[in-house]
Amino acid sequence: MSGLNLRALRKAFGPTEIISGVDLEIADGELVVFVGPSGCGKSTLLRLIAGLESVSAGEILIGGRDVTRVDPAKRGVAMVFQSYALFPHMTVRENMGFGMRVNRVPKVEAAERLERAAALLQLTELLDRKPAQLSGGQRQRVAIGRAIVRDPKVFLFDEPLSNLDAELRVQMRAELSALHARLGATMIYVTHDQVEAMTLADRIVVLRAGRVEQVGAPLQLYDDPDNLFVAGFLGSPRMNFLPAEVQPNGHLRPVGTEVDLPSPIPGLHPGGRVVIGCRPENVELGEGPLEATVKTVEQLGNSTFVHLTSAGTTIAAELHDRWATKGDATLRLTLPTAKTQLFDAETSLRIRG
Amino acid sequence: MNRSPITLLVLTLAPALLGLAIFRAYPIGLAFYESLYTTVAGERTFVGLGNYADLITDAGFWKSLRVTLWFNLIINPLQVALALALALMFVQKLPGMAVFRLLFLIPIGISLPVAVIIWRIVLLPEGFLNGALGIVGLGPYRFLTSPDFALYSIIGIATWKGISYWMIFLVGGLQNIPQEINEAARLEGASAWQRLWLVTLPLLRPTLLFVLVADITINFLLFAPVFMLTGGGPRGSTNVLMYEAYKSGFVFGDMGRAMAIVVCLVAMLLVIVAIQFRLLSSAPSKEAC
Amino acid sequence: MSPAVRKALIYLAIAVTAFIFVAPLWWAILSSFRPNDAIFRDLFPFTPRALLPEPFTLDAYVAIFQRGFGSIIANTLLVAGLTTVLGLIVNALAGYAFALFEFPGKSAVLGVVVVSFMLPFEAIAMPLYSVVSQLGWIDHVAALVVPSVANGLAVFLFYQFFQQVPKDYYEAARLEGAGWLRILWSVYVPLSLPTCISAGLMLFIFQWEAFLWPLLAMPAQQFKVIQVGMAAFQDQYTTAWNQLFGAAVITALIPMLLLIPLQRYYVQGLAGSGIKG
Repeated sequence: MSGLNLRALRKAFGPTEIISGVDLEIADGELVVFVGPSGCGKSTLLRLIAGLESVSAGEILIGGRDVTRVDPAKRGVAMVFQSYALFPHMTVRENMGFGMRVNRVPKVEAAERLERAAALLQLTELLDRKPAQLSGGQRQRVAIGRAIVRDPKVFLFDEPLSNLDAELRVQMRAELSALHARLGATMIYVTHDQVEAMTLADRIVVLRAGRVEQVGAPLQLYDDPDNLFVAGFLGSPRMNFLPAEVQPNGHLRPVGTEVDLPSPIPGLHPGGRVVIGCRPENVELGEGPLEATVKTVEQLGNSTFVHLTSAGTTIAAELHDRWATKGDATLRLTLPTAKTQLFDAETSLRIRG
Repeated sequence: MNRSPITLLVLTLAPALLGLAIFRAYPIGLAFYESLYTTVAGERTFVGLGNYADLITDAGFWKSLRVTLWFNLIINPLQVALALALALMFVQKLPGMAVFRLLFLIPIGISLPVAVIIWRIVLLPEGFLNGALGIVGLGPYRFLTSPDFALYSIIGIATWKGISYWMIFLVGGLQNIPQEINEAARLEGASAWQRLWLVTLPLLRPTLLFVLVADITINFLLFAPVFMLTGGGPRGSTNVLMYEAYKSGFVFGDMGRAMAIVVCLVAMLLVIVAIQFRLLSSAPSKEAC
Repeated sequence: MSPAVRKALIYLAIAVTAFIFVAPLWWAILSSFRPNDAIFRDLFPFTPRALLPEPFTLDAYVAIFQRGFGSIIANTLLVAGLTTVLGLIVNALAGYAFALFEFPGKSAVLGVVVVSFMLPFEAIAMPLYSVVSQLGWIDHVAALVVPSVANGLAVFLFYQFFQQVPKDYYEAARLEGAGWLRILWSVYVPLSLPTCISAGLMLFIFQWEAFLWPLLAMPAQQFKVIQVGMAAFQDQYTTAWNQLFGAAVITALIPMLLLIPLQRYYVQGLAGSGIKG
């Protein structure tokens, strides 16, 4: 059993609290992605799990065993650092074999584990090279190989793709996914890139200011966010937000307009302030109750992003056709009621019917 | 201003290059030139390599050479090892370290002659060190006047003054090692000792070598403590070659012999440094990744 | 070994080391405030009173200045000050030239400049005596100042620094029509303040601590700089312990007064050159 449990975890550096109470359960074999804006504490959380930082309060359990005060080397974790942290003076073979050497693993077994990991990651030809002679992608694979060789219960990845260029990143994403399927191991992956989160994760943990905002499968978080933050974090371009006021008749009037839109949720308190959320791909242009002026058009070939001003705010629309009209054109748009979500303006929480 | 680059190039470089040429490079050639002459009773005559021949048959020269080599054999590894220990302490992140770090830097502000004067009094038979040793019933020792102790006392004084300076270079080298490498080693299960031997020291090798070479260069030519404390004695036990050269040239007036000794010193130094650089060229790449 | 025990041991080692560095200096300072016959009191047997400046008196310092130590300090400040100012100008110009211009043989010349600072002054002090003697500068301040102005390490520090300044500054200024002198003065000099401090400190302390060369170059006893003066003092007044300590304290104090607030610059200057060197 290699599940992971975090209970009421807190971490403060001096007077500043970085992690303010995190509870999490990760199942054996899951690939969980910690994602959030910079400073949200995702890397700190990872380092707490690794044991590189000590916990201020709370517990960490790996495979049912309390490891909160246990030495990092004895927790059964392996970590791939953002900078890979390969030992520059050692060959690939020595880098990968370092842990086994230090722990006095018998030579025969050590060689076997090394060969297997090298074969898995296509490193067999590079075993006698030094890190300086490798490309970025190769170094990353060595870092992963060093982790695999430890046969850990949990793999920890700290923004492993952020040092690679865009094309390589896409390729490595696919390789990491395949690796997870192959090994079936529990993996915790930290990134600030929501695309990586969406594509790799079994479940995503969205973090902000040291707290968990929401946990769930990628599409679940995308379709059914719990609050404004999660709704705005996943998806690019960001979900459109229109502050609105509930009218006596239950309709919603976007602030700064005289237009009434039907509400997806009946029975709202009149006078209440809400935020209407609608994803760019759901915005319909051409007809509708709202007036809009085109600001910029971004043509990407396979899709078009139109940025408009409407109801006193910017609205982004995503189309799958080419768009003929230039800037400054005026047109009408609709936010289809069935495809909008409502959030309480004060609490930022999602209003569910 | 539209001066041609050449003019301004010459103007900016000339003062420094001239200075180095006249006052650093030229004296070396001059030393060799002077060593081909000897001055007896105010008369300067050309003797070719005669001074060097005389040195080879001079027992005093050989004794001085032995003292110099023995001195360097002990002091250089000692200073580098202690400077390393100092550097490892310096980078610890314990509460109150700021004060200790400042204290570690104190000997740098103290010049060698000042250190010599202070320690001379501290090392007196009636001085501070013997007093402190007296608490545990040891001594008193004649640190500077006994032929058995004198050289080691000088080694001690020079080390006390010198290692803080070398520590700075080693701290720089240590800080150049990314923290994540240490963390990765820790995660792999390496103990503090293993991390030091297998990771830190190999990566520190270029800096260590640099410090060793620079230190040897300085210690080979050490002069002030001998001049101020022992005058080469007692019984020649501290008569390093530099002092021997000084005596020849500035006490007995035989510049030729003095220069010959200086040339020998520099030649030996170059050989030692060349060996160090051969070792340095096989050092591992310092690129972190 | 538990982490707590290990921490305690490390602390102990650090404290002992710091004590070894501080103790002789502390004893020197407090002894300089004692009357001469009380210096070695309280040592056999050792009592805590040995660690206090008691009985307190300024006799030693008064005597030192009566014997002319003040003029020795002034001499040294003059020599060190001149060297620092001239040295900054000369070496910064050379560093600027190396950083901004290309010319055939540049790396060779630069290499020689850098190697020159690996050669300690002591190695060439005696032949330098002959050179300076030929120039007729023996017993003149010029003998102490001029040879020390050109300094390979200072050139290297400035070269390193000027190299790092983005060429954009230079090109933007050129586009505005500024000549090289104006560019140097208004753009590079203000930026280079930290390097000036590092290099200046190095030059100043080098001169302040100079012993062998002033000993050789100023054989007439009138003009003494501080290290030589102190050594002569020690020779002359061998048993005036408290005065010797006083002289030592003053000699050490002045570079310390500079180093303590500016230690960062000194350390950076050394460490940076060491790594690249």
